[in-house]
Amino acid sequence: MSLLKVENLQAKIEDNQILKGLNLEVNAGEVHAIMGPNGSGKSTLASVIAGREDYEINGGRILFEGEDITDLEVHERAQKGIFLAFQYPVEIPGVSNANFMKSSVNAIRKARGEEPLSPKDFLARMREKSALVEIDKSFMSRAVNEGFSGGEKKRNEIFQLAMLEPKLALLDETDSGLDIDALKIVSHGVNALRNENNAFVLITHYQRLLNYIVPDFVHVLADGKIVKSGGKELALELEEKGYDWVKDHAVEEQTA
Amino acid sequence: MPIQGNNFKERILSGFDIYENHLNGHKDSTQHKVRVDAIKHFEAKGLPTLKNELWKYTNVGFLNGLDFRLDITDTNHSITAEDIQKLKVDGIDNYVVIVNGFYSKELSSFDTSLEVKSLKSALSENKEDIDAHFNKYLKNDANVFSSLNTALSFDGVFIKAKKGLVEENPLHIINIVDSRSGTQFKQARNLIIAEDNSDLKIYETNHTIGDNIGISNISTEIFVGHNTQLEHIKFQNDTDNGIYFAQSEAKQERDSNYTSNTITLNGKFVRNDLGTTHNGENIETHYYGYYYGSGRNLIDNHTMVDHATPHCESNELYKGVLGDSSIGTFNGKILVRPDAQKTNAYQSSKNVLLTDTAKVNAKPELEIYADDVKCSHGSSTGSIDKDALFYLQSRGILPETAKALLLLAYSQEIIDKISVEPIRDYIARQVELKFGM
Repeated sequence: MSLLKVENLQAKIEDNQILKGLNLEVNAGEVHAIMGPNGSGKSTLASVIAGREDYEINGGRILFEGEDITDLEVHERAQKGIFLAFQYPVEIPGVSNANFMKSSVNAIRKARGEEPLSPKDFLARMREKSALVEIDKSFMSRAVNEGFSGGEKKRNEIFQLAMLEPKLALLDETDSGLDIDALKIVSHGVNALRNENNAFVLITHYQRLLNYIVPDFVHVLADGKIVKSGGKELALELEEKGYDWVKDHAVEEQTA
Repeated sequence: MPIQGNNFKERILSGFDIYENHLNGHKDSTQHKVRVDAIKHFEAKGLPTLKNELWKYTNVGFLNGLDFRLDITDTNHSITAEDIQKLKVDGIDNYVVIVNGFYSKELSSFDTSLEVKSLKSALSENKEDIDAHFNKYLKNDANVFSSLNTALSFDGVFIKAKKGLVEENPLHIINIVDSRSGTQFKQARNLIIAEDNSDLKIYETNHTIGDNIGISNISTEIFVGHNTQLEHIKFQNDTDNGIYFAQSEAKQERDSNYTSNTITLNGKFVRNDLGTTHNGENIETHYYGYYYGSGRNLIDNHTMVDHATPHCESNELYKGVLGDSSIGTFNGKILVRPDAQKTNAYQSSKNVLLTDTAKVNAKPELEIYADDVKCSHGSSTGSIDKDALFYLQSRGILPETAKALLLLAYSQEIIDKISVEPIRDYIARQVELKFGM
């Protein structure tokens, strides 16, 4: 069934209209890649689906598992199973990764009417999931993202993703700026978490990521709309011809 | 019952008159002359107004509206051992209790290598210590609340660590104002003498018990001898009836280390004046503070480090969180005198405002008369980091919990400076409770 359905979504920040009628449908078990030039609205789309309040939605709606979540708060969306891997993960001095994840896992469990994880089970889960993204033990007592390298921050996002096991994961330029080793670790983590019940939306600027995480669909976002959709081969075509090709193509389609 | 006038000053002066009239033949004693000088100083100055630089953010005019009768020798109270059990901290077994300004032997309990007794006893039994240190450090001329304390106090606690003494177990000073029978204005006077090469830890709390306003005016003088380590923790989490004025003045000798940590979580009004004067080289002074204001709390921290000698260091960090319609003030002064070359002095004040109606006044002051020094100060005021809130919430954490996590983290830096584990854990828990965790 349809996990995520974005219908004619329009969003603006201050007077700047960024999303101009965007449609997207993602089913369980699928991996979608959204590509596009800078400023096309890729990160806005991810933020709006996650519920960031800086944006005003002035048209359209977002459905998650058939339910309209357009007006839900950030934490309510997360509790339903939406996860955003941040392009710029936030540093939180004084809050340890362990404490952060404990609060998070248990808040989500509580929302689902489940008991908190026992300290033993929680630790076991931390250990298992940190191994997946090759994070060492000392990480748990360190403050969230504080003093982390760019690669460590991105690995931490995937670690959190693994801990929370969301139904829908939005990865906002998780690959940008990663060296090849970190990219492999991150991709390995994502591939290990893929299954028929969840879905991934990869927002990326570069085709390289898609060599490691193979998408089922590729969409091109330009000027606040999806202007072209296709299979994984579309990413290669984009890489070769550049984004101008799609933009021109889009204009042709509109004027036609 | 004689009428005591209808403003603060009149109440104080007439209360002092009544006391003096009962003295008969003792008016000529040296001790009484000190009181008279102090009360004359108060009479001349009166309560400070906003025009006074040291009180420009803090209006004490409300004291005029409080209806209390000043009976400065009154030792009556109804505090019981049961009350004390609620105020002590698990794991801290040495405690001294002061009620309404008077040391209570019955309520105190300790087994320590420190010399601990009432100040009243020390005044007659420890002549040498008293001559050397009593009323030597407190700045009676600079602060009328100090002169009021000198004029009106009779007792408090005397604590002495002999040369070379190391006492690992902290001593808890529990200061109580019993306001069950009416509004109170009470003075306590403490003297802490840490002789050369000693090492001790003092933990101080203040409490108002009763439905009426309790004003506590506490002056503490501290001597920190050569190569001595003194950690002084003050935890202020009083009821909304508590009004608290505290002046603490320390004198440090060479190679000594004095660490003060002042944590305020509640009280109707709190004014802390904290001062240290250096008298020797290689001295370290650390001032840490955390305050959380809610309701209409007013929390004012004034600090002063007097760098009078070379090769010394002071390091100061105060952090505040102000919610509702509370007001927080931080005024920290570092004075580096001409002789104090090679001074390192750092000061930082940080505040978070939770509402539009909360207010903070931060005033760092550096006064430097030596040319070869490293000094810096910084002050910042902001609100809760929105990106951090969004990040936490995007992981399913409720907005209130996310806020509490961030505020707890903010306080942690100060609480972590406390070296005594049971006290650190206790205070950390009280902060958690404040934020609903």
